[in-house]
Amino acid sequence: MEKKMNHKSKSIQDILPLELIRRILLRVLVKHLARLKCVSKLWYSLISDPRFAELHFNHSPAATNALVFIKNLTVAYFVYLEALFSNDNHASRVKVMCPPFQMKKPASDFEVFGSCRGYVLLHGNSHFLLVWNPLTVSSKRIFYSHIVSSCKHQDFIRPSKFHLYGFGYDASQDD
Amino acid sequence: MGSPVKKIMLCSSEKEIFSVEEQVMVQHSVIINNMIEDGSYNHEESKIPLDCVDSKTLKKVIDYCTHHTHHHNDNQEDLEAWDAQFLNVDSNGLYDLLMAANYLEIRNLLDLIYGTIKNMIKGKKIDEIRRIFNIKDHGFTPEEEEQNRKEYPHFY
Repeated sequence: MEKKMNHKSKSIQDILPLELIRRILLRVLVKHLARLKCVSKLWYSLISDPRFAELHFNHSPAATNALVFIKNLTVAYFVYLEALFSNDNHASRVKVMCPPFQMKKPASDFEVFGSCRGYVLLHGNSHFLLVWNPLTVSSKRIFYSHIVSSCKHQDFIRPSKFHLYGFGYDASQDD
Repeated sequence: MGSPVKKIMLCSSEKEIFSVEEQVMVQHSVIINNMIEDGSYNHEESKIPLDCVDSKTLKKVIDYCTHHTHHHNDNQEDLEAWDAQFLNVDSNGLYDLLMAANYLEIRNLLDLIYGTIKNMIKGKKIDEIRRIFNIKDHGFTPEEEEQNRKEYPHFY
């Protein structure tokens, strides 16, 4: 009886092996993952693992077609294209979210440079580039100093009006 | 009646023996299929020990495999209704079934359970999810938790 009581008070994390929890999370739609990251530290670390992102991407039955509209520094709209043509309610078609700029010091201007595999490349305030994943609400800043510049590259940077940016996916490095 | 149905013995963690139609388990469990195929199961004396599966769970797993073997021609609706009734268990029962299905590699049962757990999460707020999965110690520091709640109030 006592053993039973113990079992009852245990959480999913105490009972199931990590691998099975990972497999459950792999089946969740990507748009729900940001929320699940806040459930527990363990779920956070499972979902944040780069290998998880890769597995999840390969596991997903089909790509979600969506558009991101960034209105200003604090509001962005995420529109699911297939839902636009269905009878779903408004809330499932459009999701309002915040662009990934630090609340305290919003960039005064930014541009969208491109997107690839669900990531959006933003250029903010002429200081940094920002790779943003609107679905997992995660972003990473890339400062110019991180970009290894060769002489040739410098030539592109110098005339300030004509910067050249490439944004793509390297399958061999998965990056 | 034709030739007698071939049976195999499964042994639960409580050492209770279950006699099951071989065909039923071979069709559903990759592990048992492999054991029969490679000849490591001897019909005269072998019992397959399932030390991590208790009797209650093993009985359910056998029920599932038996039903899906004998009723695979039923219409989809009936099968889904049966599955829903089958998985009408508490969360600990569900975890036990998941671990057993994983151990025995019963793919359609795994899909069914993963789908059910996925639906338990769907559309739920974080506080609800924590309650459903009995997560009392989420592991975030009070500061991290407060920060998350502030940043994503609609999640909670």
